[in-house]
Amino acid sequence: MTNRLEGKVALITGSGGALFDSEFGLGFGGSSAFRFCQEGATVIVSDINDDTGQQFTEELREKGFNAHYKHLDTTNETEWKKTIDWIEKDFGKLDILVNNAGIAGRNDLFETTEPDWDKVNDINSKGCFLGTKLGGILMRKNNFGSIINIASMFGIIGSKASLPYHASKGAVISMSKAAAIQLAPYKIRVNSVCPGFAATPLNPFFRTESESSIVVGRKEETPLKGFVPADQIAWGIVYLASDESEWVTGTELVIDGGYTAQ
Amino acid sequence: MEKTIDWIEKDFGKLDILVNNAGIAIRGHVLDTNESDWDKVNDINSKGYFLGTKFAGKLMQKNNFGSIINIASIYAIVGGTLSFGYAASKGAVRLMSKAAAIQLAPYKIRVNTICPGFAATPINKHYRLTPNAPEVVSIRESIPLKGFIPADQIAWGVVYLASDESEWVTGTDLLIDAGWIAQ
Ligand SMILES: NC(=O)c1ccc[n+]([C@@H]2O[C@H](COP(=O)([O-])OP(=O)(O)OC[C@H]3O[C@@H](n4cnc5c(N)ncnc54)[C@H](O)[C@@H]3O)[C@@H](O)[C@H]2O)c1
Repeated sequence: MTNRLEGKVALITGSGGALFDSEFGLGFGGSSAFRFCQEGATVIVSDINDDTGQQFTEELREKGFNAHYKHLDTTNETEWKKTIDWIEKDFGKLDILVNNAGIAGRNDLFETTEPDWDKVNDINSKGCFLGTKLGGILMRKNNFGSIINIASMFGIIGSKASLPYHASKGAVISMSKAAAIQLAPYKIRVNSVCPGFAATPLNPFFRTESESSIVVGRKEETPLKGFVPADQIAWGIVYLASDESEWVTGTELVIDGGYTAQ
Repeated sequence: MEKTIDWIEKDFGKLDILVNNAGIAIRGHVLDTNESDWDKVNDINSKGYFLGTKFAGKLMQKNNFGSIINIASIYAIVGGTLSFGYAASKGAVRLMSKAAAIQLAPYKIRVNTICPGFAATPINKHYRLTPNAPEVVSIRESIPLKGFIPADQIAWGVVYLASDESEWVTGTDLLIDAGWIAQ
């Protein structure tokens, strides 16, 4: 299948953090940008990491794709407004928004500080709210849109990993459901994707410490035995972005190699 | 089931995808459900999927590859006033899919469910025949996207779960319900 996203304008946050041949591969945002381009969308790559972001966008353009770069710190409402205004002026509409920008957190609960909490919840949770709001305002004008929020399987289950991270991803899943109900009258769909363990730039130690007991353990605990490739997350996002899922809203697509089924 | 799978092996050499879709809808409150209703709906909706998973799984195991897609329902997740035996059968489908996903993961056989919301398929003829009946209107109004789900949307979800695009998706439920469960 090709051209599943033809004619669509898409904004993907946190999609400029890596290049095609980066040491730790593309993240979910970059992989989605590539698949979106292949499926015929106009793609706006955005990140706070402007050097790589611009270079990655250039790499996409060299492949003949319709890609553009925009600096966007997702925790800042003013920057969101500017970005959305620019999209409206230059592209006339927004069909797809992927709220992907995110960070991980410190693991030990007793060492976790208030600023740690604020940082991860600001980026993972508040950033997603601001995107849903500002993206939704532009989509509403067109009575059409698909918002895909990248949560995590750690928004569903608990683990020894960072408590504020779990909280932030739980928030993403439930705010997606609330937004799905609130935006349904405008035919704007809102879903979340819950990835399992993936060896992206977010988790460099999955590659650099591949023999360590924690990394081996994570692979072994996953029923399909291994880390989820970023490209698999990208395909799930393509499905939710496309009209193939026109009647899918308010749900989470779990792509975790079976981890949460056990 | 066994015969069908033997024939598939003989004629096609392998089986990559199984969609357990056959099912019936029996309506009825728990207090009005008799044993034969229960047996019938659980035989078709639940036992049928078990047999499919088992015999197809055996053939897929030879190839170390496969995707099994079990059509469940939103009534595998929440309860409703209209049916009891049906809900039980679909809940069974949902959990047997997760168990099968874990048990078949070593053979790279994936098992997932699709949980459709209210769809105007032949099983629910009245959605089309009497679109203005109070019951049909109230169901439609309770759906956030305000309408019945086209069967084709379920088909696309099945295609996604059947394809290699979902190679790492197993043991989960894909809800195609127009937001109904989210409220
Ligand atoms: N990798 C995993 O195992 C995993 C599992 C579940 C969920 N996730 C989630 O997936 C998403 C993508 O992560 P990834 O694994 O691709 O990692 P990644 O580090 O490649 O991607 C995150 C991107 O977000 C950008 N970013 C950080 N703060 C930002 C801000 N304030 N504004 C804009 N951009 C910002 C980073 O520069 C980076 O490019 C995150 O939300 C993450 O929490 C990852």
